[in-house]
Amino acid sequence: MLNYVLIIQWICLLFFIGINLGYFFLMIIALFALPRYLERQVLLRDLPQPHTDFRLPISLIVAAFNEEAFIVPSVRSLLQLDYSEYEIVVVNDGSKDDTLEILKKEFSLVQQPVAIRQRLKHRPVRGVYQSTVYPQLRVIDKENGGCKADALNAGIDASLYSLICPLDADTVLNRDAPLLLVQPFLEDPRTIAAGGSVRIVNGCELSEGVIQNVRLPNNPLVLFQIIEYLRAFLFARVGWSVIDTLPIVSGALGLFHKESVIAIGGYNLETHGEDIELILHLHLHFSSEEKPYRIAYIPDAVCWTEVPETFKVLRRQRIVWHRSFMESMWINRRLLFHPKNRVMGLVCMPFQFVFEGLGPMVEVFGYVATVICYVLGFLSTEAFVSFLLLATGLGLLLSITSLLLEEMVFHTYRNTRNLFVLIAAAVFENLGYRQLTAFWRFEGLLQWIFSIETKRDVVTRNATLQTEKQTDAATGKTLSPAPVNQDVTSKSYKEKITT
Amino acid sequence: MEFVTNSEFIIGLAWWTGVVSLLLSLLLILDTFLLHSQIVTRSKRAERFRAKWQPLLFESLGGLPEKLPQIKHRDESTFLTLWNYLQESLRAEAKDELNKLAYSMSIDSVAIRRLDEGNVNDQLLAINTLGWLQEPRAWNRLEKFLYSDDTRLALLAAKALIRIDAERAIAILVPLLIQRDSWSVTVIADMLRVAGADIISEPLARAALESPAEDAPRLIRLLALAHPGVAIPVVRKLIGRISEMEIVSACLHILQDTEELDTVRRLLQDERWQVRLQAAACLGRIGTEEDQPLLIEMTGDLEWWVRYRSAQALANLPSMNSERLVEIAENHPDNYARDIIRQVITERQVAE
Repeated sequence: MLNYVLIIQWICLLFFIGINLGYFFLMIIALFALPRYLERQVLLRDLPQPHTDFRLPISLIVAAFNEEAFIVPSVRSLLQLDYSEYEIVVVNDGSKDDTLEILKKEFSLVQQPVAIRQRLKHRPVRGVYQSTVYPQLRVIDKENGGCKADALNAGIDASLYSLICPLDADTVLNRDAPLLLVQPFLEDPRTIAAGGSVRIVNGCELSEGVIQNVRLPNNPLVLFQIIEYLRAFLFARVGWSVIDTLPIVSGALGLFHKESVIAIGGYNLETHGEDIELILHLHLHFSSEEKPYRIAYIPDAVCWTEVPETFKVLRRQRIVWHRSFMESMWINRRLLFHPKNRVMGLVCMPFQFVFEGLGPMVEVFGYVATVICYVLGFLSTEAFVSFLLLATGLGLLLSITSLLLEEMVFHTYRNTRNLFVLIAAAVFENLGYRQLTAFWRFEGLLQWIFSIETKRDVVTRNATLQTEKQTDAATGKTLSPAPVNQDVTSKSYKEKITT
Repeated sequence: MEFVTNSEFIIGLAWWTGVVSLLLSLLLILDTFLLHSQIVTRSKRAERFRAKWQPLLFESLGGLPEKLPQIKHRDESTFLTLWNYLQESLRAEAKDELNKLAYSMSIDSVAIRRLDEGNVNDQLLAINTLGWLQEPRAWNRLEKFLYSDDTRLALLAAKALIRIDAERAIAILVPLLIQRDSWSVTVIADMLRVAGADIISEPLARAALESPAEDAPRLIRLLALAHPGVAIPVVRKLIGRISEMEIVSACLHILQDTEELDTVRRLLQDERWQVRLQAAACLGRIGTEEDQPLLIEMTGDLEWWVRYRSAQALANLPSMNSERLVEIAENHPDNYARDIIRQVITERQVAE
């Protein structure tokens, strides 16, 4: 009995040491790599770029399911991008609201005869519409496939160009995002995918789908998520990409070589984590085939997305994310210890599987056991306080480093008050929020282990997420009524984060 | 019950690691605030500098202002960025005026110093500046950057050299275009455009003919920037004697004259769909009425892209009109061909 207790304690301790060492390793890489990368971007950011017909054209694919409230500003913002040649393919995934009718009216759509070459699995296309005002805009109307992956596969089939950029209907892109994302494809022919950063739009001023003023929200839950996103994007992804093992390209902003995506059968319809599955599948495919490839991360290619503002919605989101993450890891488990991609197989995948995937289990066990042991008197007050101090200190150090990186390279939040607020959020995030998300992720892990399906017709999407997120910060008015009863899988049209 | 977490050593380690982490966090918070205030001060300063200098730079386009303020060392980057921004946005005559202003302020020496002593950021700005200034004194320094492992520095140096002396630069650059396959064709094309067709045509054509098969497609793509009179004979020679898909496709991509019509028609039957696709697209540019039956047949190809390009080519044939296209679509025995022709008809209607 005693030996078992000792072994469990050592497992928890080693887990704690391992995960923190991993994060520090990534943080150190990011501290060196990020300023260096941005230094080289100076001319691209500060000087006008020539538009040439040699620049690779891209297809932006927008998956839309019941998005009548946001689809018009979203498409309008895409029409304003700073890029020479691109098309916008909106995929209406069998919306039950007026998404298609609104698009038809707003962009003068006319129906075209369907001549789509189906190379990927998806539900049948009902019609293709072309805008008579904007030649670069087409709308694909298809039967509902039950997941974003189905809509994206249809969009890929309908797209004309060799680079595809799947997007969420409620994502706001910085105007220069495509220009930045295409760079790795121009510079390195091995590039098969490039991902950008996702920022949180809650609280910002928006007009016609364009960010006018970056502001922080008042909701502490959103502030904690801002810190989480900074940690995930500013050191974790930078770190992994430097050692060529980026395990995820955000579903909200990524650019892909179309034929590579088609070679692996497109997005997997069996998981809600279609974006992470796609990247892991690409790693697996190219490693197994021994083909040279590169998946790049472009930190300054930014899109903005909305995050949950209530515990209820956030809990559901995290449960789905973690379950999807584990599904994707499991589907591509052959990447673990893959003999032909050692860094991915021996470093990144084990780290992701053990620390990110199974981590919540150890974490939750650690929290519960520590409290119980302390209450029963097995753990001294001195030990309890020391470990609390250690966990808080290390957590805070990581968060503050991310904030420092953000200030060093982006300086997004220009107001000094904002910085105070974010630092306060980084401190208080350690006292409850992180533990709570660990419990939710543990729930997701249990759902995955016991294969519990969240039925899309049973679990409803919290309407507040929709109503709150489309509040025009400038006027304080809600832009339009929000759809209720939207399923949690369509909610997975939202961004996934993982460190 | 024995607890690892009650071991004095481990408690001590946890305690001190926690304390050190908190102290480090505090230091980083201070550092973040310091950095924040530095950035705010710097950006306010840059804003003031731009507000002062932007009108002066515009004024200099009509002749040098009588009195120009001195630029302090810490404002050099802001000035160079502003000056380069204007250079990228203005027409040729205005660029000369900006150069006169820069020389009057010894910006050439500032740029050379930054090239020698600065970080990558300084070097990038300096290279761009020296290129716009067409500063011959910087030639040797810039040439060294051509061999840099940093692609951005190398390509920017190449562009700067072209601006200084295009002919001399192209002679050095063409062999490098083959050697440095990390140089993107897009950026090279931007660069070659600066040199102009008169200067690049002959060296590119020679290189395309002499280069090994694996390098030729890259150069043939660039031949689209050369004078057709120089490029087309090269393409004719290559298309007749080489069967590599990449080369044939690249040749078809830029072929513009009717002398090779028979070759193009033959390539329409090639077993590789990429070649059929380029041949169909090429017929859309150079085809005649006689190609109608061939293209109608190709709209029923197994590959979507070949069908699509064939339908587009069909629509572009000299005698083609909407009524005839509709007639072809209605009478075509193949469903896929009918769909694709109808799609192209709608696309044309929308475009009109």
